Amino acid sequence: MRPRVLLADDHLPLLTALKRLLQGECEVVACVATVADLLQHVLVCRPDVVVLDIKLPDGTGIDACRQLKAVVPDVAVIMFSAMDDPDIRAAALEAGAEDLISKHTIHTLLSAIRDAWARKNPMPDPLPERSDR
Amino acid sequence: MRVEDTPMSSRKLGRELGVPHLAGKAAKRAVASLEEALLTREEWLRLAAQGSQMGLWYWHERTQGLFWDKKAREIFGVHLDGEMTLETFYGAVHPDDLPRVKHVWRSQLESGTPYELDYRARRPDGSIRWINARGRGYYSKSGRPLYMIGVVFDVTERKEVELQRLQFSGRLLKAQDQERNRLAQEIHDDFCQRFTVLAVKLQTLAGTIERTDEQALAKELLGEFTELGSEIQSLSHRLHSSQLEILGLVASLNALRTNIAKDSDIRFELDHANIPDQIPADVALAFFRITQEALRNVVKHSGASKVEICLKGDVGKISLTVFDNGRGFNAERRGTSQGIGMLSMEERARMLGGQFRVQSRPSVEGTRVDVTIEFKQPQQILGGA
Repeated sequence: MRPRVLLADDHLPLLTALKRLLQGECEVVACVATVADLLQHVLVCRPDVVVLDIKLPDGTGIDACRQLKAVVPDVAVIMFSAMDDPDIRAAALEAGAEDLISKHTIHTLLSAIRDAWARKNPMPDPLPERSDR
Repeated sequence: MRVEDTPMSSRKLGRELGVPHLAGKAAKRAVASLEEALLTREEWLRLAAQGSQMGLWYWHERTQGLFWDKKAREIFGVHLDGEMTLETFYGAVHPDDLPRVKHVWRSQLESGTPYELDYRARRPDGSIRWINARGRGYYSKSGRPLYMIGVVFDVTERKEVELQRLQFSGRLLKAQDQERNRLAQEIHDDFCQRFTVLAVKLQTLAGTIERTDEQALAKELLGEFTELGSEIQSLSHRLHSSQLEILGLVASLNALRTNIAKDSDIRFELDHANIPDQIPADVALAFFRITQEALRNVVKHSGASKVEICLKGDVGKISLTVFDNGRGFNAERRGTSQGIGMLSMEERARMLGGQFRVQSRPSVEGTRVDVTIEFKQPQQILGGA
């Protein structure tokens, strides 16, 4: 069993690249570019993990995370932002995100998804270990 | 209300001022010399006033009488002869400024502080003139106001130049913000995004590599990519922080306070109430930059031990107060670095039609900066958020 992941980012090349990176270990159930689409798709696709950009065209990732958690409290949210800003990180965690990773350390995304998935499923199917951290 | 078209006699003046009573020739001599001195002074004043845009006025408290000379009447565009009453004066003041004028001149007269105020006059032809009015009250021994003597200047041209300068510096500040923003945006949207995509692709590729030496090289490449991406990103961040956009005003001010407090012994307190979620971006930026500048000044110059930042929201407006218990400075000296900082804060507030006030005096405890900006509530952004 693989984690079901929903990707939310308005930069199409990044979405495509992320999808390709994740597809071995995760099931990418949807890719969206707006908060409105995210809220709609999350109900239909029921992902385990949402990978959410901090800034979408129709709102901030922090507000979106709060709304997500209100609709589907058990979904794990991993946010990513351009900068590793401690204040933004604190706000993201406070909004209910599992983690916030900066885009230049995007290589840690897979392990962040693994961690979130492990927390959600205490006895999950073991994921193959890879040296991407 | 009684008309006072001519100044009162010296005798009466003497009585009002409490000049000792003299009888006979001595009294006549004293009055004559006083009258001569007064006439000379009046003549000087008249000559000085002729060459300038200065009008003279005089208020008699007991009779509630008002005297304006011709120049004052010309400046306000009221009738040149005949009765001059307080109502005529109030009628000539711009309605938006009238409550302020009424309040300030009355309270200054009653409290004994010299009166100085800039306000607008609206002439009968509809044209607007800027007036600088000054006055000084005279009081009985018991402190009761007797009269107030003052001058008015037509400072319209100066005000227009000031306004132009303000608009110009406002545009400069805005252009600087926009340019930084544009550069940061370009770096972020183009280079940073491309770097991220490349890093992700590289990582995908690294995952397919079997040979350990090639894996090590891929890891090294990824490391270099990450470093370069991080540097470009921090350049973009230095040019324009998107923190304000993401966190909103209160959380950003809180972060600012925490960051500054880290390197200082000053205690920073932030108090806020009724701040709406949706604030126009330029208003939020103005409050953020003004607070940043005010706190920078406090840290650099004040020697304060405590700063209070207070942000309050009301219908369609937000007010900010930054108060420190430091040593104060001369708020009028605009040439100093502190003064220039103050000026940039003022311009940020004024370019959004806001009010800015700084109260500070050297060696007197505390500096207080007050800013109020009114704004229209923006439309709710589509899709929540």
